Amino acid sequence: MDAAAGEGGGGGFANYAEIAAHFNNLALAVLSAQDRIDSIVPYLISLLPPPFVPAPDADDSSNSDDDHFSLTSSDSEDGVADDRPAAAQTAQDDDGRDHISRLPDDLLSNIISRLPTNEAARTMVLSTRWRCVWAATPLLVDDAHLRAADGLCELRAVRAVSRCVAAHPGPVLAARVTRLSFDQHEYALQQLIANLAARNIQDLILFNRPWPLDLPLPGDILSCASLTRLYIGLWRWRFPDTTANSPAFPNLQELGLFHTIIEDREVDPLLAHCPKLKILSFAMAYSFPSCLRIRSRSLRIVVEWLCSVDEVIIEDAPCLERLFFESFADRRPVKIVHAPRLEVLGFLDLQLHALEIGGIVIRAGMNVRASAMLPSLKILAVKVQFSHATEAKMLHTLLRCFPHLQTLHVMFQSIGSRSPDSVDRADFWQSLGTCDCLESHLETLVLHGFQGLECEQLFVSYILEKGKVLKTLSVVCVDIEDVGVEEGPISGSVDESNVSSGGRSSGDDVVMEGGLMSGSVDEGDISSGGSSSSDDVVTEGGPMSGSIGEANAPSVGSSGNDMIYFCPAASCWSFQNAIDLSVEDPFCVLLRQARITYVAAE
Amino acid sequence: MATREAGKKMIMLKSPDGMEFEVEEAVAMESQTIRKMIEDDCADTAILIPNINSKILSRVIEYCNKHVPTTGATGAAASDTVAPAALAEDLKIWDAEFIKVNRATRFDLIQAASYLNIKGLLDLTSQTTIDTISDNSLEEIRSFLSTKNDYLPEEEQTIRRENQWAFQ
Repeated sequence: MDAAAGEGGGGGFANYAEIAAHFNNLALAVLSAQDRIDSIVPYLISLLPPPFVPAPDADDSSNSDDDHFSLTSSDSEDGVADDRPAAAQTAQDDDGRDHISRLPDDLLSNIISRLPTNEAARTMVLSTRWRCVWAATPLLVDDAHLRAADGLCELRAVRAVSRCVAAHPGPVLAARVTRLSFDQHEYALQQLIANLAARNIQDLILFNRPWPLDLPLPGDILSCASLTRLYIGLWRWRFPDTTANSPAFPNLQELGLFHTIIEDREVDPLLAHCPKLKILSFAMAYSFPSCLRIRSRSLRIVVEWLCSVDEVIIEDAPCLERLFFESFADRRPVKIVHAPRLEVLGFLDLQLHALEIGGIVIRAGMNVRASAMLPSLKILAVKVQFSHATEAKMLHTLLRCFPHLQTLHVMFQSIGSRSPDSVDRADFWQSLGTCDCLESHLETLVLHGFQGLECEQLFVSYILEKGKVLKTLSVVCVDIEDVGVEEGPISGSVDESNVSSGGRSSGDDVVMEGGLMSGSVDEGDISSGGSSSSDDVVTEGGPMSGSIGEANAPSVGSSGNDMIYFCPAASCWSFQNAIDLSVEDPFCVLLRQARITYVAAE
Repeated sequence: MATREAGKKMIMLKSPDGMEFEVEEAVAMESQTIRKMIEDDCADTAILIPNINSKILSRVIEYCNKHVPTTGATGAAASDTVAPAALAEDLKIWDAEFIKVNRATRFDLIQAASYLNIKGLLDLTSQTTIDTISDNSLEEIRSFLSTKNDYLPEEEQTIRRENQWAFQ
């Protein structure tokens, strides 16, 4: 918008490349709002549940001029070509019987429901039998398939979705509308939603392609009472301020508000209309005056993803098990007032988030009272800059807030400049002492983005030393470019200052084949009460970054913990993984285990 | 894990044409139908699998053998060192090879997978069928599915007109 003005009359362009370059420069200089939003939408769509059937063009829509679908007419234009191995091969093994008609209707339905919406519908002209099969097949509408066939005419595309829903004789199960722009087509939009409601739609993804951003979502959406899953994107949702009526979405379990504008005071009535809601996510959403306050007796997962809110308050959520947030820009409070079943929390950014538990602001180094503890928490993902003493100290305080923590994910934040209060003094961690979760619960430490800085190593050494029940040390493999490692031998080392008492490690038995390792393996580092027979540490293949601190896990004898696994991990973070309760740890997946055995020294 | 070799429980599966297949219980339980039978204790000696001939049944067992969760299959140490991603890739390649069969066999496999309730096999066989008919013209699909067009021309025209959204 704003970019267009002065740049117009730049003279003739010689070729396409010059034009492209010109527009690229424009885009770099001032990104118009429209462009910005156009770049956001694909990201939002990537967070959605995957399509039923992969879209014809995986990336972005509109300019796909296509002749994808050769099903259009029965007189096949392109004359059955030899590059159709399937069709060719079938000629040979055809013994004249109609094999597929032996299959019962429900199996045929199952098969055609895997086709793109329009191709599935076209099977009804194959024969009368297939018409019946189609009629009984639950409809899955994806506008990616209809849209592609329809060129650029927006209104026709909107109507095609509507008609396809209205015309289907069988149940209408799901609709995924992510590529249509409803601006100027409000009437067609209303009809579409009325159709969906009338057909008892269960699973709806409804995005508006901007512009404008604040197109109102028709109130008819409230009549889709059969919905179990609803994702809406790029709407202004004015939720009626009434809780008097019976709930609009009595069966809704999963609700996502993506880049949607909603007022703070509308959140409560919304939740009241979803008595069975389990999963609630906000992604890049706007709320105003900008405080997200959650009160729900059914919610199990809440996600606040890159939203512009000033404050997140989990006020009363007795069933909440997982809380995820990702923030940028400003520091904000995260208040957990009442969430007695919270098990998974992340990504807590110690620079951005001021955590408050049970009304008590958690401050680095404070004395943690029972009311400021979350004993239910099992998995924590935390972003820390260890170069800042306050953040390092805060992490230690947090460990005391979560006395039953089992898995700690530490995301090491890259640092620009070294702060004056850097903590690469060995006695910093030693002075902090231990805490409940280290004594009896912390089993897994996962390092993300570990760079082997001294302050980071000191922290890892501390956990290895104090973690009495630690079983697994894991390093998430990162892109090699990110850490700037050269191929070849292992670089870095854990400093030897954290030597405890006797013992011997035969470190030269550590085998790492073909691995790119950044970080550190400490050889000849001395651990207390054990020599490490590290010939079990075999890390083959893949590039990885991290450290094997195999020898400096001390006090082995006292804890009876004779084995720590070193285990590379892959980050498995995805929005959909996070809200999937069957994924035990949404932050990483442990890949394979190399055993590090400690043999107690006699 | 140590007692696994010795304590493996075997199940006898019988096809209607009289062949018997002895398989590990874990392998047989890839089929939800059989799992239910075993859990309900209706499977003490041998399970008769109706409608699935020995040729197809042996292929199904081959599939289940490959897809039974590998934990412990070769001992803890070995399976621990194999990345799940690599394993999945390996399975994919194996599946692609496995499904290279003629249509008749594939449709039989679809039916068997459905009856025995083996989701992975049903997905694989159905998806392969879809992959072969997608992007083909209706005539090609009819010929591939050996389906006869039993519409009158005007009937077909009506359907096309009424469902224009799908044919435009």
